[in-house]
Amino acid sequence: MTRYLIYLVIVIICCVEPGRCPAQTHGWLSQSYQPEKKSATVKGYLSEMKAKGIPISYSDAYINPGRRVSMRGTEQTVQDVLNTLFAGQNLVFIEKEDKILIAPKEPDNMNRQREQYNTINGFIKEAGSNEVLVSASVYVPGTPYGTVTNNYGYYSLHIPSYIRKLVCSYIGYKTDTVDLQATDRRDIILERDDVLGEVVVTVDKETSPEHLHMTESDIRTNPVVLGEYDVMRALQFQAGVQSGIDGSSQVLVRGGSSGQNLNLLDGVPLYYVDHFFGLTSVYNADAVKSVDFHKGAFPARYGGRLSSIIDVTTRDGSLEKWGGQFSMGLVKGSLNLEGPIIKNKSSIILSARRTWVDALWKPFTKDPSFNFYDVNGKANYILNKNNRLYVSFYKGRDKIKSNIDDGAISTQWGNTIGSVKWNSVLNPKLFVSNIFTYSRFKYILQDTRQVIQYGTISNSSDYTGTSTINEFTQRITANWNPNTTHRVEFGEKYSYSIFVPVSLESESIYAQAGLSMPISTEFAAHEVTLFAEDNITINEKWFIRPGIHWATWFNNNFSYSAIQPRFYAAYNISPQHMLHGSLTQMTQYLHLINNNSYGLPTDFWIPSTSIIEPEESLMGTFGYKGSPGKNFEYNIDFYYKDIEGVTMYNQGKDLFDNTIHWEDKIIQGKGWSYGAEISSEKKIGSFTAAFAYTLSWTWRKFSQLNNGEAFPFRYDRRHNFKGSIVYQRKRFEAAAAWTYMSGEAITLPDQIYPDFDRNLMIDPGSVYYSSNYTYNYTGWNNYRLPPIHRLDIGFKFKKQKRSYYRELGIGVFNVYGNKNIMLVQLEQDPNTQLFELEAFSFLQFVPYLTYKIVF
Amino acid sequence: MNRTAKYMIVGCLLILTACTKKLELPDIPVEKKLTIIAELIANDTFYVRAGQSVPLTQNSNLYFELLNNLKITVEPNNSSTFMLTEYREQFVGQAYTLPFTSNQKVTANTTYTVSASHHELGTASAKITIPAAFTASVTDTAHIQHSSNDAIQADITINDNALEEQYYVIEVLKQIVNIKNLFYYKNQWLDVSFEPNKRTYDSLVAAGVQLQKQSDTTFQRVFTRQGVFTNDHNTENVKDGDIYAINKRILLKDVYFNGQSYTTRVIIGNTINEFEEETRKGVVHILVKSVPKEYFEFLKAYEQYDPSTGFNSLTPPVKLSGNINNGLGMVGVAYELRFSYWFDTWGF
Repeated sequence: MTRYLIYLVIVIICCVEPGRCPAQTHGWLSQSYQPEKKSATVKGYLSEMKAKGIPISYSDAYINPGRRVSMRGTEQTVQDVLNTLFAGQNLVFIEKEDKILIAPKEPDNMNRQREQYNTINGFIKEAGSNEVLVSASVYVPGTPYGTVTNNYGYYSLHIPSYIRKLVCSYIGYKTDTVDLQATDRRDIILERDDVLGEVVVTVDKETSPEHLHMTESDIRTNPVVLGEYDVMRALQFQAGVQSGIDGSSQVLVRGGSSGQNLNLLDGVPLYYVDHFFGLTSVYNADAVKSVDFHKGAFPARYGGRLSSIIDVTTRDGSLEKWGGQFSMGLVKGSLNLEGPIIKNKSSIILSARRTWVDALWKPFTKDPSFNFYDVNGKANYILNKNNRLYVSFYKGRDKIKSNIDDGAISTQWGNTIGSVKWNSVLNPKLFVSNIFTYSRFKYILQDTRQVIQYGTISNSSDYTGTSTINEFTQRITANWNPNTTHRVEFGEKYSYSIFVPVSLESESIYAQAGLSMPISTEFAAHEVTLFAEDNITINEKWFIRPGIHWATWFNNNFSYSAIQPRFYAAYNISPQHMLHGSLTQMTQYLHLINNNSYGLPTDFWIPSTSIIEPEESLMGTFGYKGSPGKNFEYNIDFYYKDIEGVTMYNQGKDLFDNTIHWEDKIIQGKGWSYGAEISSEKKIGSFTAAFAYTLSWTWRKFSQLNNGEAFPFRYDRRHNFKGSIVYQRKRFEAAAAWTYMSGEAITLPDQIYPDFDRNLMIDPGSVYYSSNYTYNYTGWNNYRLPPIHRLDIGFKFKKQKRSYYRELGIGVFNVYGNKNIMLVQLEQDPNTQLFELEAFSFLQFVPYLTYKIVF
Repeated sequence: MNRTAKYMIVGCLLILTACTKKLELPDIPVEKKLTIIAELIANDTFYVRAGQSVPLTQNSNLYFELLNNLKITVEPNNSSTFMLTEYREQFVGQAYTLPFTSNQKVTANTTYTVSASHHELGTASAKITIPAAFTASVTDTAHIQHSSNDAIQADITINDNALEEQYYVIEVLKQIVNIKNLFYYKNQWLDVSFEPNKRTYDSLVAAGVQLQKQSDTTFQRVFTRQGVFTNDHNTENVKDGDIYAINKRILLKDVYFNGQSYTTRVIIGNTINEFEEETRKGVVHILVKSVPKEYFEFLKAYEQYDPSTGFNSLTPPVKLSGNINNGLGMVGVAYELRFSYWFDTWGF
């Protein structure tokens, strides 16, 4: 029923054109006007008209301002003068918003066929390094012609041959206007712009507000805990996105769990993205070039997760010169080196991070010890102007060790990924990317203790438990731009995954002599995906993006397949106002089951099997985007998401307890989430103020829990507000951010009653710890923890020296020291015997200091 | 064991910058509820305990007030209602309930309604059906080494009835026995536990006197649970948990052997070291029970429930679903077969 309602809403959005409010016109075109000069340049006539108070707007892209024109002498009105000036050209004169717009005439179908078109294509690169820029805009002002570069910096634009200029822009870079030459191939170089100037914001209907593109500088804007700038923390400032517990880098999107985010590093899926208890993610901010985040209106090329796409692209490395950067904070240090292997032909970048908090900790205690590291590497080789090869790898590992009972337990986990990619411009209209990837996740838990458990040596001591995923993937993606109306993307993916959800090994003589060790179960599955979508510019007002994603997941015992339609539509009310809506269906064959969202390695990925079904979601969104003035924009979005097959542990169960029956520990249910999101950003001089507010409701329903009735999701936060003010100058930056989130929903017992075994008069002996009473639970997630709120401030002192740039950052996380709760425990006051909830809070008034040097 | 890692990590976090504060429990009117707890065994007498719960709200404390004027009645489906008699015993302080009993016996294949009534808390009741008789046997009991310790192994064969869906529970209890060691001297039996007699006994033995000896045993109504191991993958214990785990009860559904004889091996070993203590010696009862599904599910959840963890927001809660209408607790029922063994040895 819900799905039909969503379809209905979307159909209404798409079919009903919003009523137009005709703007009041002044009648400029019919105004009497005779130019003073008989002969002048086009620019001269237009300047004269402007000087006489006639507002005219035009672009050099489609007129030649230097052309000389002679008046006939019969011109009586503004319209007459313009007709003479642009006689024989495909231009129209429109009165709009109290001014005259000179714009290219939209050709009718017949003219369209007759008109000559060129396909301009190429790469957009950064000056100085030749690093390609992702999602840079290329457009012809005042026309519907425009596009953005793909993940490899490539663009292809089909435009009428009379177009003379292209404008290229990218945030953080100087906008450039490019004269079109005879050749169709045009690589564009943009220069960095250290201080952001005034930005005239117009809405781009092709870029869904459900999609956020961030660069490395966006990641480093807001103050964060311990100065750990991070992709995931930057995303937490977006509407519809929240963290798990306060201070963690976990990202939960529109009622989804962390396992429903598709985390991609250079196109390779990552399974665990948390380092160091979620303090930072595995994405090294120093190596990141850009991040594409989708929280809805998912493009057809993505699949496999329900809630969001976090597609991180790392830097390719400068093709021009060797350089690097070093940064350090209280937790870790990071070093990047990059440069050409063969100048302007091949480059390499290497990045490495490691904690040193364990070294700081060591003088005080060696127990427990914890650390993490990760290494990124990427090399590329330009075979020729149309072909480029990439090789990349990543390895990261977290480790925690503790000495207990004359032994030690240690746990470590990490991803290892590698990829080989070949990008090819087959012709100006067709760009193809081939990629082969390998992704491995391994979690190891070792216990070397001899545990005396209730009077006997536990058989479970001296073991090694592991959980692994190995995935091999081949993927082809093609971008085909056949004409001005259509931009088509299509492709395929095949992956082969091998899971060992849980395995135990032991060298212990006790384990060998006692009960037999369980056999680890290896599980393999294939996934085949086909996808296609078309970006259709229907006219100046309407843009639609229909797409389809088909995926099948199978092995000898089962086969699942899902056709996942994707649809996005946008309607430009005016250049500054846009309505948009989307409907997307997603299917997920891998499930992350967790008892909590603390970023701990106690969560496991398990595949869909003959018993565990895939997760599916259907989400509808509807929104409005406005840019009513310079440097000001806002978004209002509504969404409804329906999820089937949500997975979680059955009550009291744990995957690692049993290596064989892991499927039996999982229960599946339903979930749904709905809400409204408002976000806005305003720039005034050197100040930028932004806020994002989300009002949402998120529910879960499992037949095995809560008597089969719906209950709130643990992170069902009714209100989620993030506000920030950033002051940016060339040498100094200051930022303050305030966060407010409703408290988590947790399950609290409502009564205690006498214990069962005790009342059968059975002494528990030493079998188990016993209590004289038992907790009674009536409702799941029936208690709300207090809301979370905090103020973070940060300052950056920047200096550009002759041969290097340095940046010193200081700040404080949670300035007013609010005790935001991460964990609660039910206790009894030893004196009064009264029950009370003891709440643990960790991050209060945490100062930080960071230093970065770029050379 | 995964829980161990979790606690280790949380411990690290706590060490970092932990700070605590007290939160108020919800100030909502939660009413106390009548609590009934029993396990009625076919062919045994009725024995039911009843009390009340404590709401977890602001200003509530751990004090289970014993109820006065509480009435427990049993209504068989084919006979007239009768009342159980309350009696006071030494265990009320730790059980938080009052015992009620009757000399009437529980009959297999019979449905009963057990009700508790109180003038303030109203009436709570449970409707239960006693399972039918079944047969089982225990073979190959033997001392073995398990985890380098002495343990007892037993093969339990259950003969399942094909016509009914049945649920089986195996548990091992040790009944403690008071042992009085006596020796015959000067025409009387003297108790060695009495210190002057012990000195006499030791001097006579040292002098090489051959003494006539005997031991008197008195069974206490004190049962101590013995931990049980299983690696039978058809048991709910292994499906839910860990073959290394010590279980309170072994839980087995007949879906894997419907209508057939099924043998499962258990290892009883948890309190092996205590066999050496004179005061803990006793008889070991291997109890094989047929129980209804409702009770089986309760025991399955109870097996998962770990009272030692108390409550914290990291541990997922385990809900115990009882069968008491308008109250809390569980009236379990079973047809029980008891196999008793002396594994302890003693002498002097």
